[in-house]
Parts: sequence; C-alpha cells; structure tokens
Amino acid sequence: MRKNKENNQKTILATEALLLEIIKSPDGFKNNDGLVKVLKSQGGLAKYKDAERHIGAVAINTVKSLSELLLDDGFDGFERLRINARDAIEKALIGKIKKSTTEVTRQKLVSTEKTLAITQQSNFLLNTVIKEMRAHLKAMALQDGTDEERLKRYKDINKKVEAQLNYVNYGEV
Amino acid sequence: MPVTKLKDFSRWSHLGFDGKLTFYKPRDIPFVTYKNGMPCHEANMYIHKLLEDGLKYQTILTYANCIVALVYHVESATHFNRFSDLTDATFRLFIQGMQSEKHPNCEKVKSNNRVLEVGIRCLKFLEFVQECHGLKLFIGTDKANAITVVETTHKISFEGSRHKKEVTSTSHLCLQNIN
Repeated sequence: MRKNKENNQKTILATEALLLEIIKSPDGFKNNDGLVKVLKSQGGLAKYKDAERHIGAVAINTVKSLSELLLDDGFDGFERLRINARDAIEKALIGKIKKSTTEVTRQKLVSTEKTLAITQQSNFLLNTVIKEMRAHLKAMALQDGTDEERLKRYKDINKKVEAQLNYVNYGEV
Repeated sequence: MPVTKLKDFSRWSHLGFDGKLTFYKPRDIPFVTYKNGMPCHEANMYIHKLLEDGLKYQTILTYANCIVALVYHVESATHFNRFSDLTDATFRLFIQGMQSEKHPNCEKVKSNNRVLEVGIRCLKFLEFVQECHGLKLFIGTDKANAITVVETTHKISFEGSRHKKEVTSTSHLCLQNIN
C-alpha cells in the first residue's frame, strides 16, 4: 500500500519534470505521437505510462489531490503546465502557435482579477493609514503636554505607520 | 461594479511590544467604488469605522448598499463633486431622485420604506464625513448648518423591566414627508 503511494507521488513529480522539459525544448518530443495525444486532456495525461521516467498510470483524482500536496501552485499550476506544454509542441509542429483564444482570454481575466483584488486591498489599507494618521494629528493638536511627551508620542506613531506601510507594500509584518 | 467584496481581508489592531503589528482575524469586507471604478475614500473610511465598531459583514454590506446611492448621486452631479458640497436642497433632490426612479415597467425601484432607510443611513454617513474631514457647519441640528437634521429622542421600554432606554434618531425634513 505504502509502496503504491510512493510510486504515485513519484509519478506526479516526474510528470511535472517531463512537462517542464517539453516546454523548454519541444523539438525533442514532437515526433512522439503518443505523447502529443496524451497532452490533449487531463485524464489522458494521468493515464500516461513511461517506465524510463518512472511515470505510472494514476487516476485523475489522485493527480488532483497529490498535486495540491506536492506542487507549489497545486492542480491549477499543473493544468497550466499541461496546456503550455501542448501549445509548445503544437508550435514546434506547425511553426506558429494556434492558441485557443478563449483559453488566453480566460488566463488574462484571472490574472487581471487577481491584480484588481490586490490593488483594492492595498487601497483600503492606505485609506486606513490616512484615517488613523488624521486621528493622531487631531489628538496631537488637542493635547496639552510638554514638548518631550509630544516628541515621544510622535516617535511611537511614526513607528506604527512605518510598520503599516511595510505591511501594505511587502505583505510583511 | 457598485460594491465589491474583498475576501479574507486582514486589518491591523495595534503595534505589539515586539515592534510587530498585531492583526485581527481575516474576514470579508465590502469595498465601495464610483461607477467608473475609482475607489471612494470617504465610504471606505466609513466601512473601516463600522468594522472598528464590531459590526458583522452582512450588516456592513447592507449599510454600504445604502451609501452607494449617495456616492453615485455625488458622482453624477454636475455642479458639485464632493460630499462636503451637499446642502439641504441637494440632499432633498437626492431623496426625490430616488423616489422617482422607475423600472421600465413603471414600478418604483425603491419603495418608500427603502428610501427612508437609505436616507437615514446616508445622514449618518455624512455625520461621519463631517467628523472625518473636520468640517464646520456641515451637518447638525442647528439652522446654520448646510444640512439641517432633526433629532428626536424616544424611549424604548423593555418588557419586565422598569428601565427605559433612550434612543436618538436622526432624520431630515424631506424624509418626514414620505408616506
């Protein structure tokens, strides 16, 4: 049982390596008809067997769960690799890409939505910084203390704002 | 794209002793933009204030959907472009505009009660804007303010208790004539 699990994990990693290799140099693979056919679908790739590379046939659900576990980008990244590998081989065969426009548009949409969400989030956080700084400003204007106290207070606030800006810009605390 | 949802937004609470920011639990928040996609600062600051008051996502979303009507009105108005330029007359115009909005099949877009709700919520928002920008004579009960509001206090009694809770509600002259 354990042996089987190990083989499955090896398969996923080996498949990823194969896909990366295809993307890098598609010319070495373009005459391999079986491989070209396999890359056309998710299920096909899962069923692909290659003893030399230690790739065995696994179920599509195994690919999904294991790729979430093993790869940085999860199954989405795996799927993107497959599509890119397919396009790379097609490009090598025909000499130009025949990328499906819907796929390109979908990828563009996903990335644009991601940027929009990040931008909105950072906008909100900067907004918060402004609001809080204004509150501090008002408190400073209304306070009655010595100059030293005021300076100490300023330093505290400055430190806080610095930390906040760090978070907004780099996502670090 | 009126009110969008920011997923798993984490906001800071304070600077800890170790010099690191401390965060609240991440949660969803609404994000208000103008019709052209520009974020509306005042509205988002108000949302942050509501967050600090400890309201839940659904409540804040309801409030944000009310405010967005005023945000659009200010954006589409030709003779002023800031919340602080609103006056009694323009606020009345905003309310009447909402009342006369019709669907193509001649049904009202907002019912009378909805208009009331939106109006009252917007007044609260404008009070926040005054506080936030440090404006003078913008909104208040005094006649000298650009927007004069009517404040009424009424008591709520609880069953089984002698004590009554005093509640102050804000309204505007043009809101009192609805119905």
